[in-house]
Amino acid sequence: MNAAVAERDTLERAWRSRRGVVGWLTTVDHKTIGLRFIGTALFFLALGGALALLMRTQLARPDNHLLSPQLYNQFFSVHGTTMMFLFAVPAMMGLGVYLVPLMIGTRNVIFPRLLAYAYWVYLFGGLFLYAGLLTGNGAPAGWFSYTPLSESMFDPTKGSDIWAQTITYTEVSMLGVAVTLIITILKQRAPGMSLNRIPVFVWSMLVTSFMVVFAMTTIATASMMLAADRLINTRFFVERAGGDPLLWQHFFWLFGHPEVYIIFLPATGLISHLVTTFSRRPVFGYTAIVFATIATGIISFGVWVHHMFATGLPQLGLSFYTASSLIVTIPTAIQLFCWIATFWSGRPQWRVPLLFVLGFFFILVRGGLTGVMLASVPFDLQAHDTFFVVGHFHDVLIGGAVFPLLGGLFYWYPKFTGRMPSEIAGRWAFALIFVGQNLTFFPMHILGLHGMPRRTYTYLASTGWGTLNQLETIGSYILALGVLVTVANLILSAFRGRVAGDNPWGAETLEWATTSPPPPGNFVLLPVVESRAPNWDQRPEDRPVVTGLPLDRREVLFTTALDAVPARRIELPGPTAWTLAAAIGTTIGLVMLIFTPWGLVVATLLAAAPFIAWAWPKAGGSA
Amino acid sequence: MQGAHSVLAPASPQAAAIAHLAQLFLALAAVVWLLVLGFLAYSLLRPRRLAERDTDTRPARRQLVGVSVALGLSAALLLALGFVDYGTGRDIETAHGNSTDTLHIRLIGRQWWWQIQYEQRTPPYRVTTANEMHIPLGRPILLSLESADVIHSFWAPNLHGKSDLIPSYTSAFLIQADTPGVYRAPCAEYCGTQHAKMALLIVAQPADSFAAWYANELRDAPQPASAAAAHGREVFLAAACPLCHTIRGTPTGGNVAPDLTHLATRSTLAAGSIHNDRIGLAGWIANAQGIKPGNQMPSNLVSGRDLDALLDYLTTLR
Repeated sequence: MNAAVAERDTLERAWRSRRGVVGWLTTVDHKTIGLRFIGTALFFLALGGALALLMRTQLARPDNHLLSPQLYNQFFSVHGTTMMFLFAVPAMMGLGVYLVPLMIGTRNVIFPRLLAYAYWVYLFGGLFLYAGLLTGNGAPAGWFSYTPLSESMFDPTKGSDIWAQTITYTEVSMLGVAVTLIITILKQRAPGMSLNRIPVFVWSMLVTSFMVVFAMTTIATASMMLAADRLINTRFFVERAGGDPLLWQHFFWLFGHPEVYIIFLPATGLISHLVTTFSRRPVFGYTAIVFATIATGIISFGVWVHHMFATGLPQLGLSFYTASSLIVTIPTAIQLFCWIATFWSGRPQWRVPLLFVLGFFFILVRGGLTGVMLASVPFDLQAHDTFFVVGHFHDVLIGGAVFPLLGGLFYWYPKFTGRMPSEIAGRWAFALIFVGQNLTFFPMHILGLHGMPRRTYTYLASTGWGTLNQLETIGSYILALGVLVTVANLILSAFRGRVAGDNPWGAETLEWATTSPPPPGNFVLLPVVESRAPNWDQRPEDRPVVTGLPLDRREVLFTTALDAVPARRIELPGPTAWTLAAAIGTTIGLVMLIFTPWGLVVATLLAAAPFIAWAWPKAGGSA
Repeated sequence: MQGAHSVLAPASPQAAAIAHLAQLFLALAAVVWLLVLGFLAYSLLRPRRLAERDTDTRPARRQLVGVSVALGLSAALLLALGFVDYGTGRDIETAHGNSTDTLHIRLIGRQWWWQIQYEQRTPPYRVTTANEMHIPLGRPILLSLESADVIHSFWAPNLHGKSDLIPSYTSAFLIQADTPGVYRAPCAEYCGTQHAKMALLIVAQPADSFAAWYANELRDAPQPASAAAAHGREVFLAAACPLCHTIRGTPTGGNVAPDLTHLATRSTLAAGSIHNDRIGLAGWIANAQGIKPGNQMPSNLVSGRDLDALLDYLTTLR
């Protein structure tokens, strides 16, 4: 017993962050950084949601004068940018950052300092967008910033510059996270966790991370080209100078459609865990689900032109994108059917996360079916850029990603905090969010078919759109109330919740095989895996462990990519302030870049010094 | 102001084909949605026998069969939808009247109004109007879509789907109306501050009334019939108005704002935003920035007695 306590102390000394404010600023623990990503993403969700409520209030009745057209347009631009770039992707990636090392049984991610840097860059980039909004320089050209509307000729404010820089920041951040997760998943799995034993959520994060690498480089390149157009007149997208405004649309949607799946795939990954845990059965069709995830990741890069059906591209080319847009639904159908099959043989446990899974089915399936309709060129030409599309993608994103995310946060909350969230508050939150979502977004389909275009700050009374809009506005308040209840539950339960124990839900995967919350270094003794469901197939005391890894140093085990056979030991870097310094340097440069090209020089100098310092080899050890 | 704008109330063969497709899609989607939720509910709630244990392999086989059948049906349905979609596309391409009788109209999107030009071979060669497009029933209309600034989109839900107006591109778009009526075509691509107030009215009318309207459009603006109207014309010419607007028959030539030659025949002002009557016009001239903030027309260029005279003139431009 004393030996175990001593082991635990040694491990903690080696892996813990420094104390106090310094420790807070320098930490490289993936759990802390993961929770920061999630918390910051929820903060931006609140900001984006507040903007949405203001817009809904403006639209509650015809000819309303609550918001000026300029303000409304900035609000929907910043709302969209926030929800896609500052909330959805960082929340999912943050959940991955927290869970992946625990699920694969390792002590930290491979590039912990890159991860810390990525977080700071994301935080500063997000705040920069809102600094723009508060100083009257909110992005005015939509979350898609179509050229030439976003070029300096039509947007003389700094709004589109700030938008472009925010995109560049957040994508640099997400690229850092994605690369870290890819290497961690491929090289640091517990011995025995061969490819066919990787938890489904980890698979989904692996596929998502690869998608981030391709999609985010595309949009970051495009946003830098737009910034260059505005700053130094490069004219990539200016037709008078031989550029092409449609080129921007191709870049944007070549990123933009995979983006939807970058948000959706982690959600499907965590749904598999919720289905498994709350039906007390291993998920049916593991292999099919994994292949479906990979297939979605690949096919999603071939559908982007369905956002551009109205641009007058040749008919035959459009048919190809109709076909690919129909095909991309097949892998999702596979996953849905496999989950239903799991429930069929399982013993359902009617807890809050299961409710969110059912809400996911109700709304996501509807959104998927309207998505199938939008794949049709003739139908899309009618529905495109109307409230039908707004209803569709809020079904897909709220039903398909926010419901799973909230269910997932409820589910992993005991692991994060060591305490159980309130079941009653959770049920209320679910009911409010479910009713609110349906009331807000279902009528939008009807409005769209009755001619209401998107991105309009007001409408005439004679259009007859008033009643449904009023209903939607009421729905949005109910939805917001549900989110408030959720947030209150997450905050209060950290103090008042029942103590959870290691595995309160009786779940199968490794993150539940350590304490709640896990110690620095995650596991006192690293587990060895012999099946897909280590917690179900072995009692904790029978679980084999890794021996021979020193506990007094930040060492992790590298295993082979396919079969996870132990290969070598790697020492990981510890806490440092250089990551924050580098992020601040990057930020100063990027802010300067909206005023002068010299920002590039400043960014390079200010970021390069800390980069070198953080990578400087320790005497006698690796960096 | 008035005008129909619904996908589900088609007034043309093209829109009818799409509405048919939409109804089919919506019905099938509803069925599929109910089936999936039904199976989900049954899977969760079905009575479970104690005999079903983990070692029982029959559930696994049933699950496999169920998932495979569902997947097969989904794939077949998607394939069928693909064919139906393709067929609808073909129908739309061929569903229009005698194409030797096509009327050509140039439609130019501007922030935030629509410029409409009917090209012809004889003087005045071109008839220009704004925000209200008259078309004859049953004849194919070939729109030549252009943009003077940013991307806009032409969309008359009762007639057809959308087609974008992209700067530096000219695209052709064939529409037709078979039912008489006034159809509203709101701009359907976000185009800046006043995207919400940029609607085109399409007046679909029988050939003879279209011909009468067109004959009137060919004429220059009528001469002022009263002293007040004559004074109003002087006000118009002396103020900043001609810098942007044209009234044919007067020494004006501005081309960056709506042509006002036959202003009084149009039913709305400010691209479908307000009624075009004396009160609406007075409000628009006095307070254009209050009615449509951010638009190019300044408020209060003319006031007092001059405004009255100007209204006397403009309301006679039939």
